[in-house]
Amino acid sequence: MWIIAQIFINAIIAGSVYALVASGLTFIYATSRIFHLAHGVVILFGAYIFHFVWVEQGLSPALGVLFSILGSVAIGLLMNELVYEQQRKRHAKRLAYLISTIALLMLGTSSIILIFNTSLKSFNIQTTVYRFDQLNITLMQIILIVISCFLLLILSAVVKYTKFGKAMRATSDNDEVASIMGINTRQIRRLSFGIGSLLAAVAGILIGLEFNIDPNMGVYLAIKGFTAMVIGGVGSIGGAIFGAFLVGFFEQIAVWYFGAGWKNSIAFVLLFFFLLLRPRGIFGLKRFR
Amino acid sequence: MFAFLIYILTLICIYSIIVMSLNLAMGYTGLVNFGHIGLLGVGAYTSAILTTKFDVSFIFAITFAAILCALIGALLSIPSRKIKDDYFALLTLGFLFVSGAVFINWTDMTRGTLGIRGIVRPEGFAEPISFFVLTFIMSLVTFFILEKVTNSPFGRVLEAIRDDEQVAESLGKNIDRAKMVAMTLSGFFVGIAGVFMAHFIRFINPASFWLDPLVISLAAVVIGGLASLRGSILGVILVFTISESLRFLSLPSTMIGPMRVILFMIVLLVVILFRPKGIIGRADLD
Amino acid sequence: MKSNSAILWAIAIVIVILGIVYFSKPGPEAPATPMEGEAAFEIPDGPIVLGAMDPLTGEGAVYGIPLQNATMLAVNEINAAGGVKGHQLQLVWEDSKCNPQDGGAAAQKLIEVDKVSFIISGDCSGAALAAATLTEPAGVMLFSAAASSPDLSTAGDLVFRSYPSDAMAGRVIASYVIKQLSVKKVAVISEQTDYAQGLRGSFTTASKEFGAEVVGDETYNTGDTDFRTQILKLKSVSPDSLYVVPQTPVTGVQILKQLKESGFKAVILVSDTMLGSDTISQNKALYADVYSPTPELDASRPVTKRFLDNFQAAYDHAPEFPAYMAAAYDQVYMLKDAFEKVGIDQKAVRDWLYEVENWPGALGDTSFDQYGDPIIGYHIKHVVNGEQQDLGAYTP
Repeated sequence: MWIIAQIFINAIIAGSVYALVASGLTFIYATSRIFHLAHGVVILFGAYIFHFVWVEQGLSPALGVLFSILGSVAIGLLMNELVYEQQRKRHAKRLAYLISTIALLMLGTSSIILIFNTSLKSFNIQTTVYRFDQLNITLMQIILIVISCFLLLILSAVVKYTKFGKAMRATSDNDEVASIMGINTRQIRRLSFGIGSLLAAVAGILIGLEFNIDPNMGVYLAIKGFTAMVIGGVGSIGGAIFGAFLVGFFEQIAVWYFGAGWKNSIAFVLLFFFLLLRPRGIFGLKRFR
Repeated sequence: MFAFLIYILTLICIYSIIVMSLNLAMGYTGLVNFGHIGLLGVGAYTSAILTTKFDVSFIFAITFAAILCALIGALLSIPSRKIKDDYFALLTLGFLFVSGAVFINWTDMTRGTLGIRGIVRPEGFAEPISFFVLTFIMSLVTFFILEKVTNSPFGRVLEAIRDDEQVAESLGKNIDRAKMVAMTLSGFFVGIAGVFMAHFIRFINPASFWLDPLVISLAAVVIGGLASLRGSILGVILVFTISESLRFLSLPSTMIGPMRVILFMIVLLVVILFRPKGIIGRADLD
Repeated sequence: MKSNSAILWAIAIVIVILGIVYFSKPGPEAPATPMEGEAAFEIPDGPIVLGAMDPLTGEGAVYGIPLQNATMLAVNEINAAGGVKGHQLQLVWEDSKCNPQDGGAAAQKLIEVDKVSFIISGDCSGAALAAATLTEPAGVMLFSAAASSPDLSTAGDLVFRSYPSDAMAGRVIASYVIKQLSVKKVAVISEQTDYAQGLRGSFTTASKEFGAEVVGDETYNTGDTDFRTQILKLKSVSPDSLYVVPQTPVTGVQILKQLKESGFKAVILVSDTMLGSDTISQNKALYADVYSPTPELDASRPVTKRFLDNFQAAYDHAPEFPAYMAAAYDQVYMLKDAFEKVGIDQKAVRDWLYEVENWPGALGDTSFDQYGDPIIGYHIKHVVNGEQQDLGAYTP
């Protein structure tokens, strides 16, 4: 029995990381319809900058968080302005975005190797472990779960109740209609890239603290985030979060029953069934085209 | 220099087959198949296992591998009825992950991460030159067959599907069948390319069929141009010329590796941004 | 018509680029054909050009770049001290990306364009095995510092390595933990890479042979960060000892951390990629009580001390993977000694390597077996709260 409970805890820890990734992606996807795979390296930049400022320069962690957020947001916005917006001006097909985001992903990963090199970056945090009989969870993990839940709640509120949220949803439904109605869709996209990249920085910091960092993590994070987002239902923050926990849970189950070799495949198997049987995702607002 | 050129040219021929068949799915039919490299791996592993473990002839191995990949290609086309564009790409990326997991975990057959070595070239083609000639002929054959297919009325059906599926359907075309045929052909040829890859490098492991070759192939399709077989060949030649000539830049040794990727990706981005048709593509990315 | 002219244009551009490349940087002159007889040899004027390939990008870069640094350190030292009989060593670097296709292309380029006769490599086995299919027929020596796959032993006559094959380390630690620490039930968690799987294989085989039961055998994928469920599975079979075999310390440290958090109680064994002094000193609490087999790397030996001190001075940090990097460092010196004794003919160098006995390297006293694999004794290291203790040489 304790084993099932522990698997559940493990799934929640993995799920909160995926949820942070997936919700950032959801913001970006909702307004721009871009499968922003390069989000993976934006997350990594956040983590590396945090490590650089805090551990290597020995400055305060608060400063680390600040620089990390600034850096990630700047990189996310740059990607949007320099690449995606240029493509949008030419009414590029979705395939074009897909290729350019892959190019940005590769570019970013190599830049990280060049700037920060490949050596082990660990934060070496000692946290308290709470044990209940056989079960265990650490303070760091609780912080991770709490921060991601808190952030995600705020964001859902922003989307639901603010003017920006409404404009964002309008853009998401139909950007042409939205711009006719006087919404500056370009500005909305910028904002959503900004928020998405901010979430990326937070995700990067938390992932770094909990798991250490290495330059090739970006691809996997982005792919997991995407499957979670699509499973949950495109355009819905709640859906992305639910999808993230679902992916986390099934991964742990797969590891337990089939061995870790199939861990990365299980998200796709889930994705396949959802796309076929429930194409809106769990909480999807609208059917994808 | 000569043997190095032959080596690169052989790779270019193999990649031409990969990229032409990818273009058939992606450029002509509009099915973005990220699982293409998974199929390449299936072809390579099938032939490597058959020839090293079961001692079958090269001809049998290549036929079997190609047919197997064609079947998988046909299966992959089925979900495209409901799942489109980026979602199809994501789903087929899933095929790449699953096939990679099979290569790693089915250790009895594939030896897992240790890879399969001792793959021999077919009799009479052991020398690099003769193997190059064989590969070259195979890529020409692929080119002419695919050229015939794409210039036929059937090819125009495929392009109609890419441009607007609903219109194509309303014109009374059987789009499901057309997509399936396209993916079957695509799978068939990439399977052959996989066999050539295995027997050319003579050692394969799961890492050979992962994200790197996928990025190279996608870049070649885009740089060369969608819906153009000549473009694909050109794309492969350019991609290899760029990445191989970057070898000759004198950079500080610790920077060489990452710088190469960075420069290559910048070139790719420039093409996407400023010449979305690719070099001689007929279908536009815009 | 338009497309045809485009094709012509492109072909023209390719030819021009290839032409520029070919003429602007002609490969270094091929070494002159060797002299007859062993005593009389001559090194042609100018620098001695060696090929070098490491994974400089991708997942292998984590150890590719440190190994490259170790190799460069040796080369720079030799050149600063006057080179090999007055000839400077010059390296041409290629990125093998840790995969067969790029490993092959890199080797082919070094052989044909740069006309090197020796390739030193700190490469994964996959790339090295693909490279070996090309170097061997071309008569080029491939000298690897990191490829540990048992397959490489038989890859060719001119294929050598300065780091022992996986087959040994797994056996040494299995024997130690079963015979010396009286362990009955062992388990292993390993990364899905050729190196780690090789160790896992030799460890489980040897454990059964020495009479222990293998109760758990978990794997994980490269790129994974979350091992909790594997650990949970291992915990549920309660082994007396667990062997942790990552490809890089990044995941290894992560596993140690999650083991500690889960309250896992067993004798922890790790592979020697985990013995980086930086890694240990940054994570003292995780290295509370850990055993590992490793080639000697005894800092009291002058060569080893020189390597460690010079590395620290040159790069401002301790070597990340001391044993592997010592092997990469030794490679260069071994070739230097060979060049000074028998000249730069591959066959003569091969024969010299086969004959050499207890060559004093930073990794230990080295001799080669008939496969070109080094015979180096293993020591057991016991790390207690971040302090390494050498328990001395151990033979299974």
